[in-house]
Amino acid sequence: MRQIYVRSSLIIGLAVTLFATVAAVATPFAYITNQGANTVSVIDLATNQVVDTIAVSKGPAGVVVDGKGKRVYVSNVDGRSVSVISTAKRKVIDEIKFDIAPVGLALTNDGSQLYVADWYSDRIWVVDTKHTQNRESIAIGKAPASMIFNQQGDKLYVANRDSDEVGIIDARTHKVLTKIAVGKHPFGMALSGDGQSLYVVNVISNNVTVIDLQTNVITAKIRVGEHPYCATSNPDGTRIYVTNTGADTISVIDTSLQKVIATIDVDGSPEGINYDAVHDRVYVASWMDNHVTVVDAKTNLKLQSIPTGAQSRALGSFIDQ
Amino acid sequence: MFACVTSAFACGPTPQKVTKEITIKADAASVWQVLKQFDAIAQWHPDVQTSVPLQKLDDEGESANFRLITLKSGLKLEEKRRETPDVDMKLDYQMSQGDFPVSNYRGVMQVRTGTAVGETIVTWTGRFNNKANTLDAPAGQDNATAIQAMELFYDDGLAGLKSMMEVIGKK
Repeated sequence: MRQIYVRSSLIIGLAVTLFATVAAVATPFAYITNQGANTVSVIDLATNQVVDTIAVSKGPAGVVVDGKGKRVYVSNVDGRSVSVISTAKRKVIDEIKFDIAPVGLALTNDGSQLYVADWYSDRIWVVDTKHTQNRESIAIGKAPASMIFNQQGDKLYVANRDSDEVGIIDARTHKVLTKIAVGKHPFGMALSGDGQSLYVVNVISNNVTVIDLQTNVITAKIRVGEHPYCATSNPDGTRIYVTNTGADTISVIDTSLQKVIATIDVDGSPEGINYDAVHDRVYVASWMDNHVTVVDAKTNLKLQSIPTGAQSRALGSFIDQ
Repeated sequence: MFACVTSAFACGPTPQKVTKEITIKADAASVWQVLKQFDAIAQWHPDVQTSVPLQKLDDEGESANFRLITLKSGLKLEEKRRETPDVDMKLDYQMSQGDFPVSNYRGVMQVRTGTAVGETIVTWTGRFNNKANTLDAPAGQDNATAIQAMELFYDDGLAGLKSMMEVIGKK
């Protein structure tokens, strides 16, 4: 009896594990903002097909996915708003209006607060996602671009493009803790897989500044390609991928060697970049060619181009996993 | 040197794009032979008065090839070439300074073999911001002005290139 019990619980356990695995890998989707088409392309990452195209407001650029809350937030630079998309309905269910031009977006781990970077007023807006009229702003630095939380979610890092620095905001008090000088015109950023370092992409310096987040000390400057823009990490943090908009390539950084180990040709003007951990692929939005380029992270080879919409950007966290 | 110097790559959040394409009755290799001469744009672009080659240090202190274009309208563009493999048949350059009504401008001319025998397709794509590089740009420095100037420059240029190549072909 005892043996049977053990065996059946093992089977149940296995079944639960299997089910959980299936649920966890249930097709991730990518949400690609198309600046010139005023749309978001939804790509099924299992098939690499565009399965839906969602109309948003004018000039969509930034994106952040709330996987748990089944929401996608899209910043419309020219429309001066943030579109809220339901991933179940694949429709815009709300539009949050601003007086300004929102670009970068970041979301707290619990999805309760949306941080919106206002390029022209040098402020970050913190919006209550349940009551979007509840918002406050934080003065930060010139032309805040991308934002990223640390793993604990208690600090937000902001790339202040025109003041050549990264500002650090306390996510509870909304006070600016400190600012770290980096290269010229920092734009995109990536957190290392272990959460210990921040990789800051400097557009004019053509390099990446690495900051140790324990000490806030710069530990390396890594030369990449021309006019670099955005970055992403693989899950174990051994690689950082950087888009070079002026060279139509991706630089692959080995984080232990702290140098570029491969340069991959992709479609024109690559901007937003994310890592798909389910399939070990890198997805890159190509502004010039209106594509998303898919790269095999194991071989560093370009697999295919997926036609999306005019001027694909996908600045931010665009994969729901 | 110029009446207005663009701030290099102080790009606003919504870059603009113009793409123009033309089919030329000539083989791709001969079209590329003409286009790859970066400073020879005056030979085929009807709006260009002169184009002067310059070799100098870029912003990063590296030696690079530039051309200084003076248009028949009097406007000037200084452009820096990004060297690409010859086999790609791609001319890639960025405006380093000038008073043409755009900022943060990168141009790419791609040559490829057409669908019909002896035909070549040339695609010219520009990425740029308006001259003021702001969302609420004043008239004359806004997106409409920038796009209109780019479209005219690309249309005239491609028509000129086609006409020159097809005349050469007949000789």
